[in-house]
Amino acid sequence: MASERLWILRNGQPRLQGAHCGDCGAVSFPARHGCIVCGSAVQTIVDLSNRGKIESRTQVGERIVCEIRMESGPRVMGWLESGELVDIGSSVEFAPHENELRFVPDV
Amino acid sequence: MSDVAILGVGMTRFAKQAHRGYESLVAEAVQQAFEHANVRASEIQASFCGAATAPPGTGQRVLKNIGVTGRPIVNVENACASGSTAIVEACAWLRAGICDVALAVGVEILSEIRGPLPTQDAWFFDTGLNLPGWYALQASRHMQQFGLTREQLAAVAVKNRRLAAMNPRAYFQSPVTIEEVLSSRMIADPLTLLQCCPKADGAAAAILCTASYAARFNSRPVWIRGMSLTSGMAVFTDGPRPVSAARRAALAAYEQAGVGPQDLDLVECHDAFTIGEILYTEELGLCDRGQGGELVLSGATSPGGGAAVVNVSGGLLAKGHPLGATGIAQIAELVWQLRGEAGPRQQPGARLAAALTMGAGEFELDANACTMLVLECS
Ligand SMILES: [Zn+2]
Repeated sequence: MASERLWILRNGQPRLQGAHCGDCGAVSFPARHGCIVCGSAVQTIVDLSNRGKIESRTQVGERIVCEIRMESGPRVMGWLESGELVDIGSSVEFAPHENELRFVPDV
Repeated sequence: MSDVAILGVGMTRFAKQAHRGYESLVAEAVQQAFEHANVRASEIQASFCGAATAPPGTGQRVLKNIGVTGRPIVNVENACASGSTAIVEACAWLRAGICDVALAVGVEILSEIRGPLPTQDAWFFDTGLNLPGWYALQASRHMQQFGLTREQLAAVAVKNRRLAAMNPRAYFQSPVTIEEVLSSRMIADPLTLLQCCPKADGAAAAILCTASYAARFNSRPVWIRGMSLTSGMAVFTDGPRPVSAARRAALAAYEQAGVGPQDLDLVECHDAFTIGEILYTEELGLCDRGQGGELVLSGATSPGGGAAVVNVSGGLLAKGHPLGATGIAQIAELVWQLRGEAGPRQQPGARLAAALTMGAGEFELDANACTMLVLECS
């Protein structure tokens, strides 16, 4: 039951769509047809939290590309508008741009 | 498990030479390997052709040009590990007794691609990420976690450019300083231009055979004592980072060979970007995790430094990185070294060596593919 979309609007709020595995319990991103950890087909799509902390980042062209650990568990990859090369450990919030996983500093 | 021998190797220079085309590059590398092995084209029983960006059917296209037809040809794609995966496949056929003598060849033409290599359609590339950026993320994490410094990163490029100055097949044959590396254009922070491998064109080849076939020859073959192929595991989960494909490949090959990192005289490892050599020397167990920067800056992995000499060929950073040819070129360097045929960069007394080759691009996994080969010449 892979999600068609990386995120949806729920009550006007964008929510990243992850998967919870009914067998091993792993929460992963994005949702897929089978668990990326154990292979189980028993998958439930879940909303992830919108906040996370930067685990690593680099500047590529005009963008800061980040690995982010979401509060609800999984790591995701996203980008921030250019500017200061934000510190590892900074809090960010999901703020999608078209279908892309854009984040903004969480202040 | 029965051992596989490498009878001979060959490679072109890695350079900007796209005008030559796949046929010419492969002919030069394979005919060099035939001569080195004292084997004729008609003796090859199966061929494995590694390429990452070449069109479908490249193996058949290039091998008919040198008279290798009619016998099995397998085209192999595993990103930057395509060539080394071709060697692993050839070994598997030889160990299984499907054939007695096999050719592994790799080729790539990259120099006419502008900017970073094109990527597939995937959500993680929509962030703007590319391969230099992916390695840069690992470098940033290492700096934060272990205190890796920019100077230590630059030391990899300085060492490998210095070694490549003794390699007539290398793309770059001039040394650079730490200051030059650090002041070159920023590509993906903290990786500057001189910390990224050049997009080269080239080919490399190896002739492999069973122990009984090798016994017909008077030459001293190089033996494959351990080989492994792994794929990456999930990164975007709520768990810890997976044990890396490189670590799992290294442990499997060491176990098969009955050796450990302390036994190695030489290592060729995947320095497509400076951080690669630092990460993979750690995953190979040449030092503790977090100590890879200090290992290279101290000179321990330079010739005479006391540890295994790392990337004596100049590595991908200085020798060049034509993806499909890269893994076989690593093996070619180790075969020349182990047989005492490496000319001015020969490392005296080298007996045991390893090559670690990494392929990446599916970033939901920690790697696409990783191979490790342990070679010995007694
Ligand atoms: Zn599972």
